[in-house]
Amino acid sequence: MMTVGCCRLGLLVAWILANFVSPAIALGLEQHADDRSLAAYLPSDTVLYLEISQPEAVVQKLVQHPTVAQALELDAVKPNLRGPQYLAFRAGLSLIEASLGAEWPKLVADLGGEGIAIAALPGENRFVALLQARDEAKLKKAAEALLNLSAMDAKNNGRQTPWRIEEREAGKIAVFDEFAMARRGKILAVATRTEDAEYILKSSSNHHAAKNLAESPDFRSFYQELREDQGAPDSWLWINLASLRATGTAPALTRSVSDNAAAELIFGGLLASLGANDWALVKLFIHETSIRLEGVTRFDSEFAVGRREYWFGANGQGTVPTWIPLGLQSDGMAMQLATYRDLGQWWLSKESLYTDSVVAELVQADSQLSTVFGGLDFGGEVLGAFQPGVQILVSGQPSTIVDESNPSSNRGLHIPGFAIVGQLREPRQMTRRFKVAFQSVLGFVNLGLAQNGLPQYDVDTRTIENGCECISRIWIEDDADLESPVYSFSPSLVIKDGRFVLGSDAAWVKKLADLPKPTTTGSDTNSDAVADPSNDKGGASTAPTDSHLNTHLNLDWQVIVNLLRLNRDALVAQNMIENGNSRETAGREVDHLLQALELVDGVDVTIDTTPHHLRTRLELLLSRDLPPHGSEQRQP
Amino acid sequence: MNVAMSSMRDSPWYDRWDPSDAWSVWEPSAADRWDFMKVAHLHRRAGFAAPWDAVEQDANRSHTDVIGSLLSPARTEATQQTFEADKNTGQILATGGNSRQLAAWWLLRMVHAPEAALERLTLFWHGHFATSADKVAETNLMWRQYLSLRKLACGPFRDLVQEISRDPAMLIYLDARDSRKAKPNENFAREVLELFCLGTGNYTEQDIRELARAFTGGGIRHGKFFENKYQFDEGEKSFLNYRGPANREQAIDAIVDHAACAQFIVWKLVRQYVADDVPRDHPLIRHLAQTYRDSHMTTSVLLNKIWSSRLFFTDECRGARVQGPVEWCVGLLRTLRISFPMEGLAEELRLLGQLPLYPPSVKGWDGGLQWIDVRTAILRSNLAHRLVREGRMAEGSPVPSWARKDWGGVVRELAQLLCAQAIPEPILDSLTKLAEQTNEDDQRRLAILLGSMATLPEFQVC
Repeated sequence: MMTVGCCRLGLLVAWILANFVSPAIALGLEQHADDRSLAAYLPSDTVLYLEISQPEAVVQKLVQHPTVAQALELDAVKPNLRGPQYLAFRAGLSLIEASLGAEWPKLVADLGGEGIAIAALPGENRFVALLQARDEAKLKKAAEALLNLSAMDAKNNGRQTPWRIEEREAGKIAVFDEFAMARRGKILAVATRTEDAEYILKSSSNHHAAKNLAESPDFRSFYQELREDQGAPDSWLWINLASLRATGTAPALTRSVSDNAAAELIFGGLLASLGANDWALVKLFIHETSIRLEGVTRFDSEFAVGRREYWFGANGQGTVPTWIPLGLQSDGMAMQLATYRDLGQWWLSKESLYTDSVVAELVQADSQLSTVFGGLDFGGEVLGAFQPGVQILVSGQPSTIVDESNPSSNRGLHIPGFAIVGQLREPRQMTRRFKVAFQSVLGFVNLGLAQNGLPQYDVDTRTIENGCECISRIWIEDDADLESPVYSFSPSLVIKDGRFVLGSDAAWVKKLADLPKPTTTGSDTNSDAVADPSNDKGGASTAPTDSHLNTHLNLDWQVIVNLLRLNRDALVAQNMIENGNSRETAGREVDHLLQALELVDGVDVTIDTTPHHLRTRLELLLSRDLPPHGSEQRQP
Repeated sequence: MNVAMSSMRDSPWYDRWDPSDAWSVWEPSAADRWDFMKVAHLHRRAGFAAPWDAVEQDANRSHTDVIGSLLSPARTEATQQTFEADKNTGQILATGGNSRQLAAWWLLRMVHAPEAALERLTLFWHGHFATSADKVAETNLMWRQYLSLRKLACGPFRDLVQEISRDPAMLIYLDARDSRKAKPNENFAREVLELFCLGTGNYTEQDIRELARAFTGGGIRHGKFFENKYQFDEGEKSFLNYRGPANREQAIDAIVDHAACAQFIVWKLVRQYVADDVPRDHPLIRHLAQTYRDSHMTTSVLLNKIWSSRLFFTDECRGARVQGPVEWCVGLLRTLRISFPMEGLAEELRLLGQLPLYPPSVKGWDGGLQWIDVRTAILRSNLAHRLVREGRMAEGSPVPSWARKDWGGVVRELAQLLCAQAIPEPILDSLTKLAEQTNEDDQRRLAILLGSMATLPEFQVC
């Protein structure tokens, strides 16, 4: 029974692969395609175009990549490699390899050696896959073999041959139920619509003069640049934003105002740029120690005028603050976010940024917050009191408030510490305001806690040289039951020399406020003063010297994983309830997840502007050294 | 369904039993063996049913050993660690503040915990001292009440009531935390007499008013009970047979010592473990109440008596109770070793009328025939189908015939495990045909089969 099942599955795999490599016997056209980008065979209004220019090199990278080897050794993956489904897959693959006389990496090199592309065209369900072989004869042979396999599999399963040949003006097309395939010379196309397959046939003819994607000026200039670039990406995706907007599938790019206050604050400038531009490009780089995605689109200083000046800064030259040095390696820093946002300006621009309902909510909040701040206008006077820029820090270390001598206090949830850092424009005027406001808020909180019979905060506020300290601690009475909640939250505020640090952990907040003052202030820091995170991460850095780092997010994945390990019991509990698993099964699944997460070492995200481009960069830093396998060995 | 139910209603089978004989210890004999069916019955009643291999295993042990291990399962280091880990998990969820999740966690414990009888007894006491998380917004307090009920479930009833009289969740639920001597709140006093200890007809309105004075001054501080001596009424009170300046503890003692108390609790436990319809003042109840009193109202002693009795193992007793939604669902999951998302199960149980931590009122769940109507019968059938279809079955065979794909055997073995009463042979044949003719994989066939079985009255009773 199992053998029959494996064979059937193997043949099915062969059939699926056959579908991607086309029935060459039905498409025996001899005309050779030229060496243009595969984009030359696609219409100019193509919405998305993804190309792997050197498939052989990419396959080699993946096959030899240490992280892939590590992933295959994971406790969650290893048993599956001995499972019936994987064995059936391997059997099918071996059948194909035997038929075509080469192992699959070699097949990929031979059949897609000159490039592989996938494109989405305007309209519903219009996708095209293109493949350009080095050797036309091999492509033809492969197609014949795979076509036979697919027909044989259908016959063995009592089905009819799954394809038919249609004679079109441009040539023969093999039409399947869900897609169609066509080949001309070294070019093979698989399309979800027969008409698109026919288009490829026509466009691959030298006589076809239709306007194509490769001739679009933006695409041409980019493509030229790409060919000249030494650090060419392993894969890249061209996004025709004008076409994408026209499809209506990306409403966020067509809205003039946002209905989500936080999303606008985080992504507003990015979305506005994408909404105003005609194209965007995403490049993928695979290195031994990292995987990097770089997105780029046109940037014009006009984006930074008016309502989005709060996001980009004047002339788009807003730069991340460095009040707390970027890349600080202490306190088990799990996340560091530094970004240029002029919060005062943002609040004052709300009418032009948001829908009426969001504006109404913000106005209501404005009124309530003004009360807390002794009648000051929240947007203009409170948020406006800060220099542009904000830093948000998350520490993976549990709070110092947890009583280490009491084992029961280490149970339960371990909440990370977090802090928000700003810089006051006029510390002398505002320090006392914030101190009193902090006392007021804690007072409200204490009233709420008291009403619910919960422990309250003991607030200790004092004036220090050039600032103030407002430290709170949960007041735990001697007879308190420490087995209940873990008292790891002590909201505190320290203002020192204008540096404003509000956080969840008193000791940490004080420490951050005491860090030495940087030599330059955040807003006048240029990119030379800001650590360029791409410099030491493998792969070519393409940051021009006139770039302005707008946002920098850094996640230390190992700290996050350690934090998750500390909260393993909570994760297990969640798994048990969500999946109905026993404790053992839930524990195993959580350990597998944590083990998989350890493949990553960190995540680095940046957004920067140059006079002509807005660039976004996401880099996944991969672990080089994994701890020994077996989750039991890595319990915290 | 109607046939089974009406036969229950119309046959006062318990009248034919002499109380001494009924509660005397059952002894196996050649004609009346300790066999698979009896073990399955014991597990269905005392716990939440058991899988095939566990029932087979217990059939090879003595019935006294099996009953003993249900009441006090052997605590190995491993089971103790599991309990501590589960306790920690519950604490985490309680701290998270989501009572629905806590309810889902409790359901999970019922499915997986080795101490099924203890969880079931805790569920009984939860229904008896009903407190709803709908009103008690603090999950942590519901969690602590659960721990208290579980800890004291098998012990003297007096300890349980004393604990409940100081339980913050209960005080919030019955508005008893603000009871001052100038204005005593009568809610808690009323429910202690009517629902928790004596039952209707054993007290007067004057008793309630006087008793309420004994419960003044109680409050909650930092999630714990505390007594405000300035708000306690120190004056002389007169209720039931008591005269004096009773405080909270003395008042509870006086109530538990009342003659009606043991009888009332025994009646409720008999409804839970023996039959739905034995009247409160029946000689069977009065006889057992004396046993309960003699043991200082120690519940484990009473349960041992019930589960070891001749009455418990008679055919008349089988099928004399309608299964509540929780025992029905949990039993199905335990028996077939199925993992199912517990929050989803909690939502289904809410629709069926029994979501733990959310009883409908201070009266708890009525139980008995109230569990079943046209709507819930359909819901049960759909749920049985869903539990099997969407759940994850453990490796191995739920019943021996499963491995052989012998659907006739599977149907009959499942009926033995899950149904207290025999299903007529023609129906078993129909179910077999249904399973055999369904063109689905094995798990889906089983789902369809159980969905159909769940419409039978034999599947609703235990």
